[in-house]
Amino acid sequence: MLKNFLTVFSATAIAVFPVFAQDSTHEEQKEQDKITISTIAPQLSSMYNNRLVSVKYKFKPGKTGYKPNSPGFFCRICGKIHKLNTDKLIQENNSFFIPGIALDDKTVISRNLLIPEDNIAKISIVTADGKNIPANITAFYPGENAVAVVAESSIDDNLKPVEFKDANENDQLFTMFAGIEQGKRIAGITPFSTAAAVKVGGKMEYMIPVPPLSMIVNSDGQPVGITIDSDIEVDSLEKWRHDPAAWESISIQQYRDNISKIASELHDNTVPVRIKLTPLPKTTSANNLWADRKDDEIKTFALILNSGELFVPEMMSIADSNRIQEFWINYNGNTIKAEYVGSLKKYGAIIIKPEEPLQTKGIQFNLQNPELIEEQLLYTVITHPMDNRMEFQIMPSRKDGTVSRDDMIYPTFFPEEEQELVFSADGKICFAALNLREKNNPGKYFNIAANKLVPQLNQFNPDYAPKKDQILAIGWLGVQYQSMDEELAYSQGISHLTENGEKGLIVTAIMPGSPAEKAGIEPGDVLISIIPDSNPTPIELTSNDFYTYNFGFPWEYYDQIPENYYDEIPMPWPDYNDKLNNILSAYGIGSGYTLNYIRNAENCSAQMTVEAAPESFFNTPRMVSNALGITIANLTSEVRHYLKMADNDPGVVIARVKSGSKAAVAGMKPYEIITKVDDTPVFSIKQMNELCQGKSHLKFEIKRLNISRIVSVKTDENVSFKNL
Amino acid sequence: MKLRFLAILLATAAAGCATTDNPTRIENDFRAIVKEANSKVFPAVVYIHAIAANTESGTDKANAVRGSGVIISPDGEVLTNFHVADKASSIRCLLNNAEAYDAEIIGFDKDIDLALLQLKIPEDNPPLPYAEFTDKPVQEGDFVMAMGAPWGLNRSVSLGIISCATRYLPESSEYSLWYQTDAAISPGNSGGPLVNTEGRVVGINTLGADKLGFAIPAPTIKDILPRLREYGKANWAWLGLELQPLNDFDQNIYFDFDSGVIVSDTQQDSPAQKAGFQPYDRIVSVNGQPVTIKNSEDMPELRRKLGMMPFDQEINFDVIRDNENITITVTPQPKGRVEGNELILERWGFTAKTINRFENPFLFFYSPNGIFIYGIDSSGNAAYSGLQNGDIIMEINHKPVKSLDELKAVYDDAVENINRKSNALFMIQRNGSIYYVALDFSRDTNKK
Repeated sequence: MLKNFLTVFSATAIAVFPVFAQDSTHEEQKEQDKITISTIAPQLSSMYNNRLVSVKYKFKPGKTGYKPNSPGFFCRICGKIHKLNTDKLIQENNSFFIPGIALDDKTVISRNLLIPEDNIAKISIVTADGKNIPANITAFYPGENAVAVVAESSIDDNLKPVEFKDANENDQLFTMFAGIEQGKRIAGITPFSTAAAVKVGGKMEYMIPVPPLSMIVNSDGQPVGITIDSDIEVDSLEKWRHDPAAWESISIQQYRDNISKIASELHDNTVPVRIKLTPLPKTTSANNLWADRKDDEIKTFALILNSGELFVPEMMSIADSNRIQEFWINYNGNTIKAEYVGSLKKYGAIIIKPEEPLQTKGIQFNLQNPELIEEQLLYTVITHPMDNRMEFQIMPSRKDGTVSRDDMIYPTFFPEEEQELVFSADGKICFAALNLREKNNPGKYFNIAANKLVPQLNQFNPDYAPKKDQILAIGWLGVQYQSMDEELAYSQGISHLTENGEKGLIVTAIMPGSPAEKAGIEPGDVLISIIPDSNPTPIELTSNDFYTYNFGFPWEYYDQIPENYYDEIPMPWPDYNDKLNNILSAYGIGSGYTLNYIRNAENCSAQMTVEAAPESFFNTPRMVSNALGITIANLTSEVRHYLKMADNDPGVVIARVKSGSKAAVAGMKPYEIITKVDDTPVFSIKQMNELCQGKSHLKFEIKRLNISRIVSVKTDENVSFKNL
Repeated sequence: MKLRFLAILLATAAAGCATTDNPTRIENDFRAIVKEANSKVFPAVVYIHAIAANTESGTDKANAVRGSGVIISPDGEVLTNFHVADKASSIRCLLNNAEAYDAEIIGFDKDIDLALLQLKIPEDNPPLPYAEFTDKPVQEGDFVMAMGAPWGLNRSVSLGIISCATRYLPESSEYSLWYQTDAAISPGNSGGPLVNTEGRVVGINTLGADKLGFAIPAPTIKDILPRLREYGKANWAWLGLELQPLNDFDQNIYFDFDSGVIVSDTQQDSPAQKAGFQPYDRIVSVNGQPVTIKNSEDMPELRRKLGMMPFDQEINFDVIRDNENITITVTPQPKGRVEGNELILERWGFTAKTINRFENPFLFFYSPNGIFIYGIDSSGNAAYSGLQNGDIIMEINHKPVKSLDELKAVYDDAVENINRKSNALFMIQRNGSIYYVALDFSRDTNKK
């Protein structure tokens, strides 16, 4: 019988059930007492065809222009999932069809598409004979993920209210379904048995796959239930066995009330927040900064807690947290400063306290067991912080799965884009999407249940605090390195210590005065892992994660590089802002760690402390002259080291040359050194500014590695340099 | 004058104007002139076939190089390009009368790309036909013929004009300008003469692409030829001055002076540096003779003049520094080698070369005494391991390697013990950064 499951019949026109095709299992049919589809189908089709209708949706953009997506439904007829993209449908002026089952001459049960009312322009019922009858959603069935759609006039006067019978264990059952596929009505019937149950996942749960949105009837032609989803849990047969009238429902009015309650809670208890950060230095480096946030301001929002403090669900790295300078909130049009209180230990969120108390009782949390809440109709809120107010998108929401992380299981919800808060019907927050503080996996959000979150609102991690006195310190080890590969490991006889070259960074140079030099690290040593004192989990220095490109710098061909590529030339000297140093920076200056390395094919280790790197080209101040079109920086130690310049040799680095500028025409190029201005040796960008100030005809001595030339530039306006 | 007259008329005829009474006569006249010129030089053109080591490929596989040359003396001196005779293990010359002789290199200069060969002719051989250089200045528009063996097709002549008589190609020579011509010059023409309508050599064809051919001008050759005969090389004097012209249109740089030349830099440890030259000094005269370098085209002549100064004699420079006249006296040094030695390591698949300050100024900056990878066998072990041209060899198996001798010792040892260990760990410097490369040479690339 199971093999019969996929027997589907279809027709090509809007009509009653078609002439049914042959039963493919006819020959196997041994048991005479069983009723075959081919014998019962004509009878069933005449009984139920008119009850199998479609619900037709037209969508429109929401008030804020929002055009949501929906998971749609699995279509039994074409075997595909019909996802719903309102943006596309609106653009193409198309309708969306989803099957429904008429319980009487007006009421149709269909699946909840989880689209906000705001986005629904029009709903109608399409009958089996193709009539369109305007309709409205009147109720939701959260447990079944169903909706009741009621037609404004009768679909078919002959449709009497369905009376569902109980199904017996041994009944032979059939599912009947119909839908509209590319404008044509198609219908089908399949046998269905509890013996078709399949085991799901690792749990002892059995599911029977069924055609979704179908009517289930027994062999006597009596209705025993309807399906909404594409499977039925075996131990909960009552879900489809009984009259939908018995399902727990929420009326459309209740639903609207819930949404306005949530909206009013949000209105009273959220504020826009601006987090001001220490600006990052401008850099010509193409590499990423160790800080993740490039801007110096974050626009976000906060929930007002009943303690009077504010909860800012914003994930910031340690480095970025250290850059925090000020918090500003906007409450009822007034800008109020707020103080940092703490950053949550486990999650990416900050608690702040406004300098003036806010006149509200605070947002409420739903502290029920999350498993009880998950099956309800929930409301996902997407926040849009504006300058002096908040805007929200409140959308019906439903749990659609789980993810596990660190022995915790977190639910996932639909919709999941930009999802920030999940509310229950009572206007309380039941889940908040927060970022787990995991060093190696930033940027991943999980839905934390309110009852887990609230007890942690006063557990802080001091590493994520602002550090006003210690801004933008990059930690460094002071090595240049190259990622290991199979051949390099083999040639040194350390394949077994480096997982065949997949682990390890070969030290190629040691910077003078660096922690690595003090610890006695030498070129040729192979760094294997870092274990921070605060966390026993080592960071493996794998070739993949720390892959290095061995390009060198194209000095030989430097004159052939066109101007418009100047900004893309990576700097020739070592960048202190490399991945290894970024990891150390994130631990924080002064924190201890163990460095494991290989020397002479033996494992060694060194106890280290994160030290601040000296000022380097990457973060040294810069000045820019628009008249010339160049940005200049002081010579830092690593640049002098690379260029073999003594500490007292004059020079400033050309950090950037604007293409098309006077300097670019004169052949000045990034990473060349200006050693003299009008015959005067120049030692700093400040002095350079003084020497150039107010002049429009300048003569520079420019040095590229070891070769100098004189460049004379006439500018249209007087030259002056401004701080960047 | 006759030639010019003809040229104008020819242009008219070619434009299809039938106003000339007797076009045939004029064409015949020009043909006669070309023929006459051709007959003077053509017998002196030789077709050169050289076998040269190709170290750039990292193997000692030899290449056959085909080029041209011109006999310039009755006893068999042949001028050709340096790049035709470079690294040749044998040179054979085919004369226009179908006689063939071997030749040896008498002298050469890489910068100007000139080589002087001597044909190995029997002592009782009658004097050979030879070509003479022109004494007259060459101007744009002059008719010229390129003779030689384009693509190995010897005894070929092509006709064109001088497109530019003072072409400066900074990448191609620091001591010489070039004659640019639209006479077709193809590979194989290298070393052949560029001849005027009087049947005199105006230059040696050297570079060419499409309608852009470049020849070494006769004045340059006449300057350098006696030195090639005497020293076997140009024997340039080295001062170590880096000079800049007063005007540079491309970079929009104009110094507000009417005379002199700007010193932009002095080379490290050079006579000019020791004598006290400083950047932005302006040289106004050399040994009392005024000097003015307005544009970069004027530069090669001055460099050549300075390069040909005797080594043992002081040169007096009148210099203006900070509006004051000073005199700087420099005694030049021999420039010495302008190219490093080479060593082919076949099993490893590369050619190593010593770093030369003139040839590899940037490598010299990184490592003044060192060796670098000059040529890579594209299918060899070094290429497979990721070594690249221009990599400076610092260490092999953690031992410093600074010279070709040391490299040879390490290599020989490695190849001898290949059954025990068939890889080597190279520490190299690539454009200023240190890298490690493991060279696996277990594969014998000579075995197919």
